[in-house]
This record gives sequence, C-alpha cells and structure tokens, in this order.
Amino acid sequence: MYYADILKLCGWEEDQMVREKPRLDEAFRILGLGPDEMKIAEGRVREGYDIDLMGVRKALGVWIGGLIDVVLSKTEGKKTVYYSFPPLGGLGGRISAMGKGEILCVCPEFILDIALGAIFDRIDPIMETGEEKALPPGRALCALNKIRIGAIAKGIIPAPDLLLASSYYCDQGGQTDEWLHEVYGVPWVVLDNVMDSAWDEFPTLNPERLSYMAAEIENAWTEAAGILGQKPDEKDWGEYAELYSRFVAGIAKTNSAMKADPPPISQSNLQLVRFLRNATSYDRFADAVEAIDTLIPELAQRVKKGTGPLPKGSPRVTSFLIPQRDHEVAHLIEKAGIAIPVTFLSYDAYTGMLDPTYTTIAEKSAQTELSRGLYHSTSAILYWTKKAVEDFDLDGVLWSQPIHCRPMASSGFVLKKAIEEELGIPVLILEVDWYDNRIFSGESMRTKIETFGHLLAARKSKGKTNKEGN
Amino acid sequence: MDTLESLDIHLKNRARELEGLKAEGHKIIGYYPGGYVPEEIILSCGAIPVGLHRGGEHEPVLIAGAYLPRWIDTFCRSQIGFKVLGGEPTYDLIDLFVVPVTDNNVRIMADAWEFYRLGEIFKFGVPHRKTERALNYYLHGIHAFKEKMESLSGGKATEESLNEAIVLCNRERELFRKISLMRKSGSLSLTGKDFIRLLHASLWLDKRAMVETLESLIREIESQEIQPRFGPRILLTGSTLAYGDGKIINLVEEAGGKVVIEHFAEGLRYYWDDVALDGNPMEALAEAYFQRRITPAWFRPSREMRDFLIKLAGEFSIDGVIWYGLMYRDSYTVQSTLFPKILKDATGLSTLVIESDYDVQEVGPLRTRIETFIEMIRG
Repeated sequence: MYYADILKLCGWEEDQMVREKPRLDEAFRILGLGPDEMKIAEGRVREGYDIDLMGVRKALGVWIGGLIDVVLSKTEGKKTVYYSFPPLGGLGGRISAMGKGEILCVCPEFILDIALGAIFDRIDPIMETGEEKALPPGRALCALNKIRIGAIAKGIIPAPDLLLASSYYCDQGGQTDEWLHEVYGVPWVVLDNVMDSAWDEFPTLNPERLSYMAAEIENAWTEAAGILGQKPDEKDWGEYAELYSRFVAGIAKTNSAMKADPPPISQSNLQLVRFLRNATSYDRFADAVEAIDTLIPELAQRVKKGTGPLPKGSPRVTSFLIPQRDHEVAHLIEKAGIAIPVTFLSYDAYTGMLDPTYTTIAEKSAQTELSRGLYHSTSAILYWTKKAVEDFDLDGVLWSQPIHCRPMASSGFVLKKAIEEELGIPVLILEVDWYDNRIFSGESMRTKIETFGHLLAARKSKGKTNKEGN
Repeated sequence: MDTLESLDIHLKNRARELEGLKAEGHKIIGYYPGGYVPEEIILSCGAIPVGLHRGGEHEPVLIAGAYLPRWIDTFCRSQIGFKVLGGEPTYDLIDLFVVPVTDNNVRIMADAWEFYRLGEIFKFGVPHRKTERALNYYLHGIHAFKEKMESLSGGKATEESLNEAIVLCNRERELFRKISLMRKSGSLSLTGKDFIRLLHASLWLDKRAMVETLESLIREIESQEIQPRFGPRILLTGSTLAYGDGKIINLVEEAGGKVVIEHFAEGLRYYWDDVALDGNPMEALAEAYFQRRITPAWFRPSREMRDFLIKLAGEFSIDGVIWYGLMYRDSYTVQSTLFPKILKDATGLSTLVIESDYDVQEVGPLRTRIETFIEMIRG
C-alpha cells in the first residue's frame, strides 16, 4: 500500500486501511494520486500541521476519508446530495440522517479544497477546468464554485442526485448550482432568504425574516425527501443529533482552551477540526467526533503546561478564518509572533442568545444561522468581532478579506473603521483568497504581517489594551 | 423631434424644480432603480420619487474605493461615489434613499451608505423565488415602506391615493409600451439612444410631465412619414444601463447597428406590465412589482430571464444580441457565460459579451469589438 505512510500519519489504523483497501485503491486511481503524490502530501502534512497532536492527525484522516467517500459515492450505490458552502440550517445533517449508509450529503468543494488542495496540493487543475467550463478567471469568481464544477466535469466526483442550493447568501453559489442543474440535469432544491436587516437591528432578529427562513428550510427538507424517496428515520435522526451535540460541545471546549495564554494550538489546525462538521456525511461523522474528543485532553495538557505554538504574552488577534489552502499564511502570522485564539467562525457566544421559544427544528436552525451573524448582516459580523475582542482580551484584528467573495466584501472596510475608532486597537486587512492560492501567496504578505506583529508587540509592551485606545 | 427638444428643457429645469418643491416641504425620495420600488407609494404620500441612476464616469468609481472594495458591481460603487462627491442634484436633494435589497452588490452598497452615514436609508427585502411565501415577504416589506413614507412625509397612502398613483403610473407604462412595441417594425424614426433617453428621464422627471411628453411624442411619431431604417437590429441587455453611460449605445449606432429593444434593471421591467386596479392596491403592487416582474439574473431559477430574452429576440426580429455587463455583478457574469450558447441553439443568433468598469480607456477596444460584431451579423 503506497499510501500507508500518509494515512498512518493522518491517524488511520492499520486494520482500517486493510478493510478499506479496495476503496482506497479505486479512489486514489480516480484522483490520479500515486506514490509521488503521497510523498508530497506527507511533506505538506509534516510541515503544515501540528502532528504532535493525535486529534489533528485524526482530523486530517477524516478529511481524506471524506474525499474517498465522495469520489466513490455513486459507484457504491449511495444517493448523493451536494450542498453549497457555507451550509445552511443544518440541512445537510438532516438529510444525511434520513438514510444512514444510503445517503451521502456533503459540501464536496470544501472536502476537495482541504483534502486534495491543502494536503495533496492537486487542486489547481480542477479549478482551471471550472474556469474553462463556466466561471471564467479575472472576474473575481469564487474558487469553491470553480472546484465544484471542475471536479464534476473532470469526473473526479460524480454528478449528484440532488443539489441543495442557497439563493440568498451567495449569488455565485446559486448560479453554480443552477448551471449544474441545467448542464447535468440534476434536480435542485433552493433555499431562499433576504439579507435586508437594518444596520442596528442585531442582536435582535427580525421575526419575519426568521420565519421566512424557517419555512424555506422546512420546504427544502420536504422537497429533498420527496426527490430522494426517503422518509425521516427517527432513530437515525436521534443518533445523529446526539453526535452533533457532542461535536458542538467539543468545539466549545476547544474554544475555552484557546482563552489560555498562550493558546495551546494554532488556529489553522483547530479550524481543520472544527470544519469537519461542514464536510463529513453521517457515515463518517462519528470519526469527526472522535477526532475532537481526542484533541480536547491534548489541549488541556498543553494549557496545564502553559505551552503552545507561541510564547506566553504574545499579542492576540482575531480573524474571520485562516486561509487553509496555503499553510504559509498561518505560518507567517505565527512567525510574526501573533496568536489567533479565536476567529469569527469559531466564536460561539451566539449560543447564549438563542431564544428557547422557537421549537421546531427548522425554526431552531434558522435562529442559529441568523444568530451566528454571518448570514444576518455585515453589522452582525462587526457585533461578534467586537464581543470577541472583549471575551478573548485581544490586542488587534487581522482580518483575512476574501477578494472573490461578494457576501463578505464590505466586512474589512467596516471592521477597520469601527474597531479602530471604537475599541482603539489596530486592524490589518489582508486581501486573500481562502481557497485558491494561485492569485496570492503568503510571501507577498510578509511585510504587512511582520510590521503588524511589531506594532502589536510594541503596544503590548507599553501595556496598551483595547480599552485604552491608541 | 420637437418633443425630445422640450424633454431636454424639462430635464435642464428639473433640479431647480426639485429645490423649489423641497423648499415647499415636499419630501424627495431617492430610490435604487431596478423595478422593485413601487413609485406609487411615494406619490400617494405626496412625495417625489427620483431614481438614483447616475453612472458611466470613472471618478465616482475611484472615489468609492475608500468606502467599498473594488470587486463590487461598478454601478453600485458609482452610487457611493456620486453621493460622496456631491454636486449631483438628485443625490444631494434626497430626504431618504430607498433600497430594495436584491443581491449582494446592492446589499453591500446599502451597507456602505448606512455605515458611513451618507444619508437616511430604508431597506426592504426582495426574495429570489416566485412563491406565495416570497410574495408575502415582499408585501410585508412594501407595507413597512408605506409606513415609513407616511411617517416621513406626513401624508397618508390611502386606497384612493394609491389607486390614483397607480392610474398615473399605468398610463406612463402604457405609453412606454406603445412606443417600445412600435420598434418591432423597421420604420420607427426614434433611435435606441432616444428611447433610452426617455427611460432615464422617467426616473427623474415629474410623472405627469413625463406622461405628457410621451403622449406628445407618440402624436409626433404617428404624424410622421414612415421611412425604413437600415442596419442590423440589436437587442441590448445586461444588468444596468445608467444615465451617463452612453458609450455602448453610441458605439453601436456609430457602427451602423440599431438598438431596437433593451432589457436592463431599469426600463422594460417597469413598463412591460400594468398594476391591477380591481383589488387591494398594496397587494396589486406586490403582484405586479414582484410576482409578475420579469426576473433578473439573481432570481432562482434565472431561466425565466433568458427565456424572455429569447422571446424578445424573436418578436423584435433581432439580428444579434449585445450583452453589456458591469464588472463583478456575479449573477450576470455567470449568465453571460451560459446565454450565448442557449440563444444560438434556440435562434441561431450570435451574442457579443462585453464588460465595463466605467473606464474611458475601454472605449477603443470596445469600438473594435462592436464594429466587428456589427459587420459580422450584417453578413
């Protein structure tokens, strides 16, 4: 097994490899990953991830497992469902839970970007195919959508049986799904909402908007069940909900550990674990929970010892997320002495504002999605970022601003002005693409990041906090 | 044409007229064009609607760079630029900016307007699907808009005043439709450039004056001797064709092409259909402005828009389509990659896809491409 070393490094057990050998052989053949690619991946994993932590290694293993699952889903007779990233309303989980072992419901481009991109460094040809087929370069179009189209067009992943599309958060995602619907004849279900909240509305939620979203979630789920010919299975749903709760509780524990000084793990590694809930189908979700359960005591141990990737007292910032396709950005930030204990996507304080009067699954999903802020408004992103600065005692904000993402477009401008003026801490905007490193490189940001690191360190040494201003 | 000359005088005097009306206590309500703001609600409250519709210039786009990232739709960036720069009466005089939140470009533009406190703003949502649920959401939004208008203007949008405004706007729509449909024949002396001038004027002029202008123009057209117009017949489409963004229409006409029908966010979407008068006026507005509206590219599915363009191409005996996109308007960008093949398969017609960021340097390359396209379809 030419892939044994990389899989072992990624937390796979010997017996699992033997058991899944025919699947692995077939999937790696389709993906064109041979011995040379395995060596490359091994180097990238050793260089890019904190492999002293078994929780991180297991998470990497789950990503590779997820890749194998999606590549083989149709040949293994599974009903295959793709949803857009970011996923909405826990809908993917609910659909997965309609048929454990029968339905694979994932966000394929996200799996491909991490497994085939970050680990194997083989994503660029797929994006190029996506550009050639539908989403031309030079128009600031999203890499994830290019990956979705490119991977199907190249036959790396199958055309699905159903597409779950969103029509409101990301215009491009909905367009991509419509393209696939028309070109491949794949049925699609559209979930709508409207981002029309007033600037000062958040954290209050507009009940009309919430109600519209909940109705759309319920409708999408019902339509999806009809198309797939599935009926909800109470037992499977109960089991999935329990796993999901364990996963969310695990995330909360890792967030709590990140409040320590120094934070015990690099945010780019933690993000790899946290995103597992967005990209694994039900069949592999237990492995994701195991990865996080493995990580929690490892982090606790480091907190107890007072160790982490950076020394105690390093300046602390937040970001939206860490570009994951290119490890170099995360490394540069850490080499500049900057710790990222929390990101917008990891911050879970919204759980404290959930209104228990909402009772149906769809209402709860809609409430959760809106309360997290991302699908609510730019002002909600600002609200939670300001809260995170207080909660995690941050010294600055290092915002990764995706240049190909329209929904996130104004966040950097708003945050820089509002946070610098209101909280008196510096904000650096890094223009990046989270998923495509052909258009930027970590090295091109070295000067900015290092200078920002010096600035934060100087302020910190003078004892300036976010409450004291510039 | 005499009517078009008097239209120019109307337009020239409009800023002073608006200043006078504002001084008298009338509220001037700016709105984002695109066919989703019922002007009838504004009119029924005794306020004055004006579409914020300037574009085509590079400086406002550059200025907007201090408030918005560059990868937002050019027209949306321009709105921030014109507001910040000042000197444009429409932008300077308004008491409220009404934004129907449609796609991310419009939302982000409204964010900037709100966050940088460029003026009072009122937003309401436009869903992206034609369902009963979506229609109700839109109806809820325009009810909130009506309440806002009533509190701002002190007027009351009663059933009677709304119906009165609907009658007036229906008349304007009817006249626009009549002129537009005259273009199906190859002999109308009105050029595409003139028709677009009328559409732009309708966003800015007093509604009654606009109706009189259109009536006068129709009389003038009908009294003229019919003279055939030669040259390839063009359907011009895209996301937005702003007031001041004349380069495409100029280049097409200079190359010998005749724009005989156009489909953009403003214009056709507004005049193609009337608002019913036989029921609750708010529900009738929602039905006409949302449910029966010809869909834009950001609707799901967006196929309705493409099918409509193909229908137009047939009905107006089109020889070629020019798809004029603005940079970073994703929905239209993606559609522009799909549409040429769909049109070709359905009708055999060719499409020229061009994009602009309102930069003067674009004109040279655009001229070459447009001239080549016109020559190609001329056969």
